[in-house]
Amino acid sequence: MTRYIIKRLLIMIPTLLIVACVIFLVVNSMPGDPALTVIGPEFEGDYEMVRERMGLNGTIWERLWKWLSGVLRGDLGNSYFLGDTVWGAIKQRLPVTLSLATTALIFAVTIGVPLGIIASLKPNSALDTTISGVSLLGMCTPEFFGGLIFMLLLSIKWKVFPSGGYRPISEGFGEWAKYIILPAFTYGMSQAAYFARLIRSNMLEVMNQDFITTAVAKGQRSFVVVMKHALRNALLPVVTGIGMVYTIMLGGAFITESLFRLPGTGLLIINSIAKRDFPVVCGILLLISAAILIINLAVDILYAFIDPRVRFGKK
Amino acid sequence: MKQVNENSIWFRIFHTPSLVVGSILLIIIVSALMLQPVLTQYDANRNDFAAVLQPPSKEHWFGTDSFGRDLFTRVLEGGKVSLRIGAEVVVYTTIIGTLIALLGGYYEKLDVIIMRVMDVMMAFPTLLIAMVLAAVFGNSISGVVMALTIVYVPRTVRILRSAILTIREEVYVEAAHAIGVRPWKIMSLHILPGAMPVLIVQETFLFAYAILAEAGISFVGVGVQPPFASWGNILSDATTLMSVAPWNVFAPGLAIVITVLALNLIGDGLRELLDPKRQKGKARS
Repeated sequence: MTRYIIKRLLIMIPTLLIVACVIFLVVNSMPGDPALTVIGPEFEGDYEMVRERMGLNGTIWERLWKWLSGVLRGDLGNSYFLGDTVWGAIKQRLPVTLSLATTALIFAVTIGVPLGIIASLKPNSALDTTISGVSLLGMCTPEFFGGLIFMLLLSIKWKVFPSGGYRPISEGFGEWAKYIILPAFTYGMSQAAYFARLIRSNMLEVMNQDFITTAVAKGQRSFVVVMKHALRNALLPVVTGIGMVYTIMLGGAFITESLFRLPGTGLLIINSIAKRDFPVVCGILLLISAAILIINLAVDILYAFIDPRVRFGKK
Repeated sequence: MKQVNENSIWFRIFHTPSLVVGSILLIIIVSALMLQPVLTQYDANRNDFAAVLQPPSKEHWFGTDSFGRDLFTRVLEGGKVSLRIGAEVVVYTTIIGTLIALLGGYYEKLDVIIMRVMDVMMAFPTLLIAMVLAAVFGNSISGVVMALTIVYVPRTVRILRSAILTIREEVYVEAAHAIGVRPWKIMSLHILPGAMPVLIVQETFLFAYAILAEAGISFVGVGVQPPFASWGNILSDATTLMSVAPWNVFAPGLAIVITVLALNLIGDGLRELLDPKRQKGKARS
């Protein structure tokens, strides 16, 4: 087990390095010249100087090397426009994105999993068909459309929640919750649909297996059979599911952030792309990619712990 | 008495409700898009300041936006762009993904490299990197197509590869080897057709993803740019009009939902239809 973890960690290092190089090269090949944005069209004379100060002089490879050696020392560089280091800018906005993604994940699991279990208890009943239908519809509804409808009803019509913005949790949990609930609910809904479908099909598969028949034949109460025997097995793939969904949520949060004007890393990357603030775009992409790699690794390790069949590093 | 052949393809198609419903929905949507010049007499980009922000009426079925443009026309115009992007992404990922998967299945040494590259590509956050790539390729329709193709190729390769690896172990493939059929011919004529069902189902779902992704990227203002309408940027325009003209939200939003729903239903139906395990006795689980 330990050897497996070490091996996986060692593979992750070159992967991250390649990912970092790709990110830098892709982002810096964006059309548009940030130096021109800084200087404005009038001051042609200072152009070279500004480029040098922004670190835009030299070939792309020299710049890649400089950026990469900075990254390895934990320095993501400076933003062109924000008057801050990239890490500083991200650190300030990261809590917003993490609040959104985590709360959304909690909504997705607490709504999706019970719905999936209920649907699986009586397959093809009216209740099951309704839940399956609603979750299919949920999967087909983009969060920005669902969010607009919620906003229309809950913010504009009934004025239950504010229609956008963010309050940090340091201003009190109530304030924070008031601003985060609507975006998180919106964002969590489509993933709740995914969990409901996943749990339903897993449960149905498990319920058809011999050990369930045995448990029923022994005269076990059906509640115990479902909760103790079936659910345990059906929840296994959900562990992977939660990890996967969380990575998707971190990477896709920018749409919800843009809709609800949440000042997180997603909104920052959208604005930075528009302004061609390359170091910020690179920094956010690198951090989220690293987070995805780490979460995937954590899920694999957790999975190996839970499921004895997938225990690697043979004894 | 006329005997019904339960194994005929038409019988099976018509007994897969999701496939039938999904196809009907898709046919309605596509024909509405194609009949746009007949259905509406408006120009999607003509401003009419005498008809600003009108609610749905006989003249303007879905109402008008802040420039007085007819929303029904714009949703149809935008649909053409959105569906075209989805379709092109499907075609390109299928071609490129199949080629890569075949190369990997054929040259085993290459396979190791290909899978490493695909793993690295999958390490990126899908939507976020698609948005960045769309900006790199210049915020155009073809830029979005390229961005989404790059992002979705690894998924196609992965699914196709695992199907190819399974089929490669089949006895009939071994038999073909034994009688001296060339490996490349075995790959394309004997193994690939077996992987087709998996590929078709995957690409149907990918069509739906691509439409959602395009709408998302255009919604945040990076994808398809005005004057071109796409469902994403019509919705994006609608966010500012929410409190005064909410109908601006419903038309493009529902268009996305219905199209994606149709494609998902077709995908589910095809999976049911093409999966040999589910054909006999149709395990009602």
